[in-house]
Amino acid sequence: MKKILYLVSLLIAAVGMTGCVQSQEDVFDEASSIRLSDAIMKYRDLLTEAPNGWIIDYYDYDVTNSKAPTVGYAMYWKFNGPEVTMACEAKTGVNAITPATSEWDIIPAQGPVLSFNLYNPVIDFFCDPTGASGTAGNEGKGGDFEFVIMGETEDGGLLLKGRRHDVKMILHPLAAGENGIDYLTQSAAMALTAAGASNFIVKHAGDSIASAQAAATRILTFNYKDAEDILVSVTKAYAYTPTGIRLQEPVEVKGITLSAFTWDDDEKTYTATDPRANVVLVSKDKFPAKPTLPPGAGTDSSPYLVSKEGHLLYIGSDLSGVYRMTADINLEGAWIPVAGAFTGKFYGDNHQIKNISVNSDAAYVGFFGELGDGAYIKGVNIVGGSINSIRTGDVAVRIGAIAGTVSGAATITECSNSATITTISTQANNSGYAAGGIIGFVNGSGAVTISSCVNRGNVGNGSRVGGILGAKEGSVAATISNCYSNATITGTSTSTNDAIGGIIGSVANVALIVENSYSAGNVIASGSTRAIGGIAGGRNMGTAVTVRNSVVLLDKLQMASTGSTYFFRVQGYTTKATLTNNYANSGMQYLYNNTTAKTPTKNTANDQDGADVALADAKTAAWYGTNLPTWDFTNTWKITNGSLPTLKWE
Amino acid sequence: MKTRKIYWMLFLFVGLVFTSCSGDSLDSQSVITETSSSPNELDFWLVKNYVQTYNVDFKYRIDNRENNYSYSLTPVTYERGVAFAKILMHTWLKTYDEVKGQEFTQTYIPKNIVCIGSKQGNTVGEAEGGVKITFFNLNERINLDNLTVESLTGKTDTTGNGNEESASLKTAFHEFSHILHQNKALPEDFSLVSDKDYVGGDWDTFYKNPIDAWSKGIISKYAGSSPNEDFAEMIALYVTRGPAMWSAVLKKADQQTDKLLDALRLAGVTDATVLAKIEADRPSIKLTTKMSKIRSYLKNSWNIELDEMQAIFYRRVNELPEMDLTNLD
Repeated sequence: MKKILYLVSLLIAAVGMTGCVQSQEDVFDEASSIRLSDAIMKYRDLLTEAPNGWIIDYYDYDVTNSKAPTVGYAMYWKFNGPEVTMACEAKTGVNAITPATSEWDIIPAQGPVLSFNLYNPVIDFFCDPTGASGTAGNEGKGGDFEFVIMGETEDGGLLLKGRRHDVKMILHPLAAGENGIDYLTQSAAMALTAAGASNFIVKHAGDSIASAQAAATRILTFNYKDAEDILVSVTKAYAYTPTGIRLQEPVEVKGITLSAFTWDDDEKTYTATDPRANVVLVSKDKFPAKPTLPPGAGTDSSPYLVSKEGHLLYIGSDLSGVYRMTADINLEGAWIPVAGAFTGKFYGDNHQIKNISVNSDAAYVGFFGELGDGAYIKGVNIVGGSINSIRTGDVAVRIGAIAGTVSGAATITECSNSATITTISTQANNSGYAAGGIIGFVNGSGAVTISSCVNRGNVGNGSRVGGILGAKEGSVAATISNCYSNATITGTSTSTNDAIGGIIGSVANVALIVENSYSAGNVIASGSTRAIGGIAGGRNMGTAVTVRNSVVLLDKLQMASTGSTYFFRVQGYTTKATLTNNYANSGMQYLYNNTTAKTPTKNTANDQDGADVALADAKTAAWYGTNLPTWDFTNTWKITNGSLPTLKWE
Repeated sequence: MKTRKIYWMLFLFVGLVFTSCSGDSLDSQSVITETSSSPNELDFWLVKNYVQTYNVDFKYRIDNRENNYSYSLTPVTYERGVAFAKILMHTWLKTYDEVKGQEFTQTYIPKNIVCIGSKQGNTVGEAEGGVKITFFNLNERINLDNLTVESLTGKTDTTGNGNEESASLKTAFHEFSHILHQNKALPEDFSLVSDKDYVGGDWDTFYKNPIDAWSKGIISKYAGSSPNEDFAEMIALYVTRGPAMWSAVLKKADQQTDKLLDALRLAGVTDATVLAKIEADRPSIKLTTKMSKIRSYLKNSWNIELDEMQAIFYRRVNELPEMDLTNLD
């Protein structure tokens, strides 16, 4: 007990002693207002003295939803006396990087507050209340133009906090030699370059540790399992830099701190720049090919060597070059027809261009839009896929697998197509329209040769349609030789001027020769289209068409209307055709009114119905030897008895 | 935006020399610290034209410490700050100068004028007790490429069915009118004319359209809130939109009464007392009665001729399109 009393008295003495100690020193040696004033002066100098200005990753905030930072933009600030010049990477509706000058100040408010106190369109774009009236709480795009300066960062930057919306942002000084406007231009370019990357595997030292998703609103979400196997999801806003992205603030993934990344466009990866992080974000996304200069010089002696989609996309950059395919190419992205008239040479070397997907509202649609004078296309196989014109209205639609239109002397040889070809527009009685399996329209200033070509793609559904060529106009000769189409060719028209054929649809003006060719499959015309034939539809202008040594091996040749005046097995339109030694399958369905069988009346070899041949006979080499001796089964054609002929190169 | 830092420092220096004679320089430990950045051309112009002449602080830089923080507000552009400083000087302060002399303006003009670039709700301007007046939406209103008088005064839709449009100069005259009645009381019988039709804060629901107010003999919807607002609206609208607006409103105001009288005549009502009562109750009579009371109040209490003030304002505001609002003199 005495001991306790002793202790208590000691305590009392101690307490008493402290009471004698002089009043405590101030924690700060200056009044708070003086310190604030000093801070303002210091920051004012710091901001002004950065020789190349500053970059801020500027964040607005989500006014409607979570009120979290969203969409980071690179913004450039250069302080010059009382003035500030600003520019921003890009923003919705305003893509140009246009600097604007206004004023700034640092005022004492909640600590030192950096205020852009006159209107500057760069920053106030984000701050103006939007809509009909600036009602209370209408935060516009959620931006700030006043910032509490929270302190300095390790790299000599400043940590800012938006005064109205509390979003933290870091102001980075530009290093010597760096230019703010260049920084913005490069950041904008980086945003475009990496735009397709949105799904990532996060790898640490080569091991997958997490997944990540980037949203178009520039938000990156990391998903990973923590030590207890619980799924964790963390989200950070980011902004683009000239080399990659920087997060609004560092994020921790599996204990690893990440704050910025560098984009590798060849590998499609983001590599963390944080020292010791050893983290790479590997994109799982498919990227559309970009035009890529192929190896080679584009000359006869050194053609461009084409082995990937990007090389094909390059054709538009050199329309007169010489190209040679060295591999089959699977098209990953939607194909846009090569724009402009191609006048070069393209050797497919019997390679395939697979899975073409065209949905174009251009006038000329195909792999090429237009072939010009001198174009030479050989050995190109369009395999599978679809080529669609989505152009509507009474305007030009010319569509074919190899090219929509041919406007000069050109050769297309040993090419094939198995893509389906369709149009929305049908365009009755309009020479602007043509659809063909290989070429849509020929109206050249020089002779056009289409030889040894094959179409297996269905073609429809307009006014002038053919299995190989849709329509031929103009005064220069064209030849279709040693070609065949084995597909369903459909046409529809409300005009009696339109024409559908198994090889060629409409022919106007002078010579088109079709020789040593055959059609198989179906030719079906709806509407009141009247010129319909198994080889050629025809038309009543000029000297029109020559068809010789050809054979119709269709399963069905059908028209919807009653009139049968211009409806025959080989050549539809009655006059102005030169017909020599042609044949037609005597067993095919030959129908008008869609269902009424027509009895051939002009079924001789030099007349419109052609001479009768049984399909079984037309599948024998002997029959061709006797009846079509012009067919070259040594160099051009081949046949297995019991099958239709095919081309040697196939 | 040319900076004249050296001039400014000289100016400050001269100021210091003078103030130090009076021995009231700030203690170095004072908690009031001045941190404003270097002044520009407009700052010098304002010192000369607003501060030294009228002792008025024309604030064109935004300072959210003084604003209603429930709104997101953005600043005016420098160019609009220049233009509005000149517009307000020419059409508002100088109008009072011409009417009553500069000393009058110096005495009564609000000492703080604040410019805001963006909207604050539908408020065109607001005043705080005759001390501070704030103008909003100037970035939209001051169209430097095509400045029209109407964009500054607002326009009266004489059908009475449209929106009641306001604008900065109308607001300026409205607020100044309050200062007048706050200093010299209105005659008591002014408030009696429309006594039963003042509805306080419900004015916006009670008077849906201007025509509702006119038909009660009240110049605008807001004027229907109280006699003081009625007084301020009457002066502001009359001065900024002129006698043509006034007669159009008078005509429109009586429309319902005219219809009623026609209907009674058709119905064969000839009772002279009934008709006389309706005639005496015409809205236009209430409006003209109040207007004549305002005229005599201004004349007797302030020696101001309302029509003279209107004519001076009209002349001045129409000089604006010819004025250089871009460069400072």
